[in-house]
Amino acid sequence: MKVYSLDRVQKDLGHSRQAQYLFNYVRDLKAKTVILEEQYFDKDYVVDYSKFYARSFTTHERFTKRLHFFSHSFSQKEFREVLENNNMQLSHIVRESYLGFVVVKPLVDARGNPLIGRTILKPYSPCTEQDSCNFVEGEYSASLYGIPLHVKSLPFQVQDIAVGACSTVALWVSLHPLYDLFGVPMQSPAEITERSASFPIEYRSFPSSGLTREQMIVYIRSTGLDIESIDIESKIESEIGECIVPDVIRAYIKAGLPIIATVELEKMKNTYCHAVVISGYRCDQTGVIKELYVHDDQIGPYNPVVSDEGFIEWKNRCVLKYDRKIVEKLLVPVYPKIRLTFGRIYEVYLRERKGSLSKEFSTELYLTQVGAYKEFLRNHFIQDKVKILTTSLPRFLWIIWFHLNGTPVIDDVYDGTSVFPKRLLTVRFHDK
Amino acid sequence: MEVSDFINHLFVDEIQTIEINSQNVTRVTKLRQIDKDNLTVPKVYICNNDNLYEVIHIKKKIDMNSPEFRKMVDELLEEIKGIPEDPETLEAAEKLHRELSYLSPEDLHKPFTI
Repeated sequence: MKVYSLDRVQKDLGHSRQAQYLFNYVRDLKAKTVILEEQYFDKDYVVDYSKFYARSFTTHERFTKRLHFFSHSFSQKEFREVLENNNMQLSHIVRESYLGFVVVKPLVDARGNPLIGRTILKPYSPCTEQDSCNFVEGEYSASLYGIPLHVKSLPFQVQDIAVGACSTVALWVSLHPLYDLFGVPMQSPAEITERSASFPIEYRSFPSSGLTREQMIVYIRSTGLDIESIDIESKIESEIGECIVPDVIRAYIKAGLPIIATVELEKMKNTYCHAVVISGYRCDQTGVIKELYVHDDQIGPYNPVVSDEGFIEWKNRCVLKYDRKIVEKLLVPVYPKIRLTFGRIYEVYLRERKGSLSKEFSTELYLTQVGAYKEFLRNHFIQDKVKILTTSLPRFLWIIWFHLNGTPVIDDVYDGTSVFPKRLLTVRFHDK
Repeated sequence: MEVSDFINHLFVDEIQTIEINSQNVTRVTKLRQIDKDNLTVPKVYICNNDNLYEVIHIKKKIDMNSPEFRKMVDELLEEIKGIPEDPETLEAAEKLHRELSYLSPEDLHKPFTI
């Protein structure tokens, strides 16, 4: 165990592009202290080890290193005091100032830099009074020498090309919230690639050459979920070209569902295909999205993305210089009972918001679950409250929300489990 | 709106947003007083630090229990009432569903290799 200040962390983190991003990221989170756990048994890496590295001629370590970050300054002596004498005050500071961890694998990339493994860090939230942030996140625990630590996040890791490329990592990232929501089994990158590659293709499974979209879909379906594929490319020039990407993002992120974005990267007239996960967004009071946050295995977690219009062409603030980054499709893993597709409800939403009076309000379309929605209603003043709360509703609901700067006015509630749009009820909000 | 009227209204609670040169300002009290001498009526400007902005639109805060607001909501409910059952909507919804979810063989076989 070593305790040191943030400025010395790059020795353990390495100097890869992602390590540099992570260093800047934790610095922005105001990290001051690092605790190095020198022998950490990381489940994801150990499974990849058993699937691939255990049978290599070269010897590979089974243990990883884990770096824990804290926003409070404390010394190695003080931390030893927490362990030795259970100093309650210091122990509280350690727990409260916890920002998350980064696993460093005992593997190196082509340039000799260590590979970044499972990374769970607090989302960077540059929100003001006027803006709010929504993230896909779950609660994760870490036990540091017996001290229970907790952080809300969405896991990230860098690709290890031996066992998976960007598409495998995008699936791996997506599995975490799906495990929390629908009990989908967690798998390591090697297991994901192996299962996806059961569908025949022209390339080898290992070392990985990346997955096709078909393989990604096959994998999601093999977990018991279905997939909502939304074609953005074909709508770029249409009337909905400027609003479809933000509308999809608001619709699913609010439900806690990760969105896999397949992006075309253009450089020197060559095109490359890349898969990333949209992990959150920042919007103003009227719901207009100002910035996206993307888990991009080539860059890092919560990478901020801005756009001139409609978030079809992305402008990343950090590294990776491509001439253009265009979103071509969005893939959303969904529970099979969510039968009302985005396309079918979206047309109803577009027509409802097009009305002359609708323009006086901000409108949003989002998916939710009945428990969460009724809890939301319980905390608001609505007409016929008891009647609505006691009405039996399906597990999944699509809501068309009319609001004034975030103050709800009307909710048009649709059955998320029906094939065609079916309005269940309309909720009318009022002041106290 | 006359400048004097605007100034009278600037710091009252009823104002929800002021749109200035395409930016929405929601915290009115953060803005400094208008430089009256430099204003050209009927255009209205507001000064925030050293920048002078042209006011494009003022949105007043609405009392959700007021009769006017209730009437507007009633009319909105009437406006959206028949939309999901309208055969034209359902037909368009089917078309959009098919267009958005279609994956060609090229789409399916595209590898993501970065």
